[in-house]
Amino acid sequence: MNFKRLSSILAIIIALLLIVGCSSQTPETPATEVPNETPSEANAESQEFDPNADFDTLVEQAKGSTVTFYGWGGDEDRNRWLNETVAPILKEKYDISLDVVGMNIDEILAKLSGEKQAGLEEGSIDIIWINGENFYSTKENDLLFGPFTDKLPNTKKYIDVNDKEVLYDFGYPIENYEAPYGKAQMVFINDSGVTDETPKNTDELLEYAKKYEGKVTYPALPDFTGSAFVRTLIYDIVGYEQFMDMQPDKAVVKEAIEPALEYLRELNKYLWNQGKTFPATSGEVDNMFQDGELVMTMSYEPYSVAKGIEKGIYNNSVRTFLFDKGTVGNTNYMAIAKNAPNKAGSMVAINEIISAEVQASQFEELRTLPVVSYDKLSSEEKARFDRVDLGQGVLPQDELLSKRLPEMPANLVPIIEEIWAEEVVGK
Amino acid sequence: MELELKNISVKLSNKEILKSINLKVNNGEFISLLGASGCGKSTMLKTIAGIIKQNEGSILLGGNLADKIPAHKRKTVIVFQDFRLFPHMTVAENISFPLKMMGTNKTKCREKAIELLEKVQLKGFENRHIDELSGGQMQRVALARALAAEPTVLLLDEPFSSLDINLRKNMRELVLSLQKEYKITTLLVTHDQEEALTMSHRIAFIHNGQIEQYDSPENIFKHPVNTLVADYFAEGVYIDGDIIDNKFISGLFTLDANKDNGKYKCLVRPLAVKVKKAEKGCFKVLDKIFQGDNYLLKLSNIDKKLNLESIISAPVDILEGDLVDVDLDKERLIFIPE
Amino acid sequence: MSMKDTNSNIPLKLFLYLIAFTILAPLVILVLWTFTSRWPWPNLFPTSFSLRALEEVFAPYANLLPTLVSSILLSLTVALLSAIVGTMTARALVFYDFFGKGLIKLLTMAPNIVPGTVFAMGIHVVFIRMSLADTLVGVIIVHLIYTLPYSINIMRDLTSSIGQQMELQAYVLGASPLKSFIYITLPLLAPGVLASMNMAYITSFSQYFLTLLIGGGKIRTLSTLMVPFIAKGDRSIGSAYALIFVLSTLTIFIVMDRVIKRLSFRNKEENL
Repeated sequence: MNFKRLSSILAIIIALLLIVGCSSQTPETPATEVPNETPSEANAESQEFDPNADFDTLVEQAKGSTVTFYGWGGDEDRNRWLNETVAPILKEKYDISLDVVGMNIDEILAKLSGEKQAGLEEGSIDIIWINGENFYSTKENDLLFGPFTDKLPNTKKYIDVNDKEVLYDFGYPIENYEAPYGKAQMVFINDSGVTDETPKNTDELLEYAKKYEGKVTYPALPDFTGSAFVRTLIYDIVGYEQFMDMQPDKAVVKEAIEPALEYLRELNKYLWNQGKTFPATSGEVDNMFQDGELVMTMSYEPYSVAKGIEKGIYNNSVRTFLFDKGTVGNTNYMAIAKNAPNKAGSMVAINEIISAEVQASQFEELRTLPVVSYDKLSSEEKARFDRVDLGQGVLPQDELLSKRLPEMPANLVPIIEEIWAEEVVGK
Repeated sequence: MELELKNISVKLSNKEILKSINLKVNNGEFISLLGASGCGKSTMLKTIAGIIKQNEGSILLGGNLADKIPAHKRKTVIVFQDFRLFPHMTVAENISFPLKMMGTNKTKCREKAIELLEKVQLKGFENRHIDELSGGQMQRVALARALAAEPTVLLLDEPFSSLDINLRKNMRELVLSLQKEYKITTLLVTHDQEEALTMSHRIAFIHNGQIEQYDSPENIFKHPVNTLVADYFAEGVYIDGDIIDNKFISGLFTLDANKDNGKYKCLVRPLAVKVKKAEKGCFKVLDKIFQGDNYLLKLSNIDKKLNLESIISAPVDILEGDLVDVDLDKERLIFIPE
Repeated sequence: MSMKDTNSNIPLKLFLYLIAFTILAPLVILVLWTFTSRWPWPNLFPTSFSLRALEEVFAPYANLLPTLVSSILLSLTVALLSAIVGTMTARALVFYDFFGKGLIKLLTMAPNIVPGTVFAMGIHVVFIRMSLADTLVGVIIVHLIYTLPYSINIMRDLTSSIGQQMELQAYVLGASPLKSFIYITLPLLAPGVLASMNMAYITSFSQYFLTLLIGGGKIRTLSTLMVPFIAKGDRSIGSAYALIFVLSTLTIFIVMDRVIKRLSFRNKEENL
């Protein structure tokens, strides 16, 4: 009967936990709460850090510290490269330990906004791998630290600061809040052993789909790759220029893309499952292509074919192709969280990642298009980039870049995804 | 050990179950708590054992106040109707459980279990599993386990009611012989008047949370204090009347009765009614019911509108519709004061 | 007679084989995919094999073994705490009346009623304020919130079906409440404790979003390693992780089963 009290208390504790868990969803004004456990300590740390300090001072401050790098953990090649190439360089050169944490951007955003809501001045995320809509929302919600890229020596040394992709991320001004990390571009993929054609535009794609009826599809929007694929088709039909300063208004967007919508509905008839449904992810589409269920797939990684052939996932006869008018390309970036515990270390690490050495290694190992400006490289550095063996079934860097179309402003992307769901699926 | 209940009242979920119970049990005595189901007799047992707390009153064990002693230290052991053997233990483990709780070592535990199994005539059953036992065997194991706890008061809660009738007699004898051997003060809860009459030194008749009568089996049967007690042992026909100067006078008949003056009810049980076939008898046999050893006769006196029942031993030549004379056995008549 | 018996068992046997097949077939496919690089339709067997998935999964940077060991320990802790708290709460709910009992019954279901992400975001803010975010304790507590409804419900049904009769019998035989609980009630509850531990273990072991959010990436588990690959559609690496997931969980379940049986029947083995 001693149990009576004990178990009742336990039950009440659980209930309390559940209550706090459920009740705290109501957002509170962040201004009212700053109960940090050790405010003096946190202040001491932040007083010490001065983003305007001399870079050498930052390097000195960062010595012996740990920098956490948060980003998607589903790319084994990138995980390996970060851990086995970048981390040792940072350790050796700056005595910085790089802690690579696999986390989806959605969870990173949830974590940051939760920390902001709770008034946590020092979080655990330093560097975030980010771009597009996510950059837009984090910057708008004051979750990012900056401006900082203008203070990095390697920005001046290697980056073309007048490049549109350095100034704008999906049309949204970067204002030195994120540093370029790598370049991506939509490419189409099929197997020359299965189909001879490589459609050069949307008309040829339609013919291709007719010929291989039921063996072409694309990932359902808002899948990242599926969304970029549809934007590429829209650009081919109605051009890209008009979108750059378009009002984020559904009616306006719909009118502008109406011919493309008609095309997509026409295309549906010949797609896998007659366009009534679409695979949910680009992974599924790619798996179906690997299994021979589809004759074509697409990727936002321009060199994925070479990697796939090396891994034995793709046949040797698989190849990459583009539309004549080009495909959308974007840059992905590194930002620093506003409540990052190690801002000095983050700046030093990011500075190193945009160096010619690390960018070249990224190009070699991951075949990610570099963000450094070729013109700014020394002849030795140029030679290193030129030497990179891109592998089989891919297109050279200059062909990709010459057919690279700018991404739409971030706020148009969800509108197009919404229209697609209403006007295209199953129509 | 001597047991005494003083003014015990128990309320369960706001219902009064026991109302000011007073009961004294002598050391080594065998007492039956008799009553219909729901009268509070099981609650009384649990209160004595300390697993129900009384709202008022005190319990004394061996003359000492026991109210503050928790159930597991009272040594008042209950054997429940459903035996409650621990299903995850063998027979020997069940029996030695109380010993283990006392800190007895394993060898001793086992020796004692084997010894007690012999007492309950289950020699060689020590390694059996509970689900391999019959009802009677389970009962014996439960008894042995209760004895292992060295109880100062043994509390039996309807222990025989789930057994076959044939088994009951054996079990009653076993319980009585063990009670005699160990000289344990024992309280038996039962609703069976025959069980109470044959087994106990005294019977406490409980009705509606109160003790109506506490007396020896013979007294309680022959001199019930009220109709409730009287009816419980054997029903009959009541005849109202007065006793004046050792004579019971009613509208129907007058009898000798050695009682104080006052208003009385005379209980006429079937065994007290003797019949004789007579052509001019004043009772008519309405029905004749075969009851094995006996016949039950339903009689009616048409003039006086009195209905009686009579039990007579077979064989009889009386038939349905016959007229009979009735004679009352004075020794078997019961006078209950009003 | 025996002929008849075997005949009547045929449907049952078929049924059992069918169940075994539905359990084993996916496992076989997991094993095949772990070593497969290409398996185009309509081939019955993969056309090319590689050790890529195993190489990646066991690569030093992935830290598989330390992560696996710490996830197992984490989930075991959760399972144990969940079973303990679940048993106690179930007792309180079944046997005692106290203020707010009905509310607690309802609230134990709350995490399953409120959508997971919403719940996680809410609890995240609370945990940051309580300095529980990004800590192991925080992850254990948040897992418990998810596992407890299962544990409480499993234990509640069992507790009310066992009732208090055996315990009362033990009291009057001289066992203190604690001893009667340990020697009598707990062994009787053992099947429920095992079921509730299994349930809690698997719930905890497969938590992805909550672990990531409350653990802040600092607490790494097999799920936080595995899920990105499954989400990406990498069947080889996904299968390799899933295989490790299934095999480690099975091993833990077998161990739990043995340990709990041993503990609950300890008396018997000692005495015999």
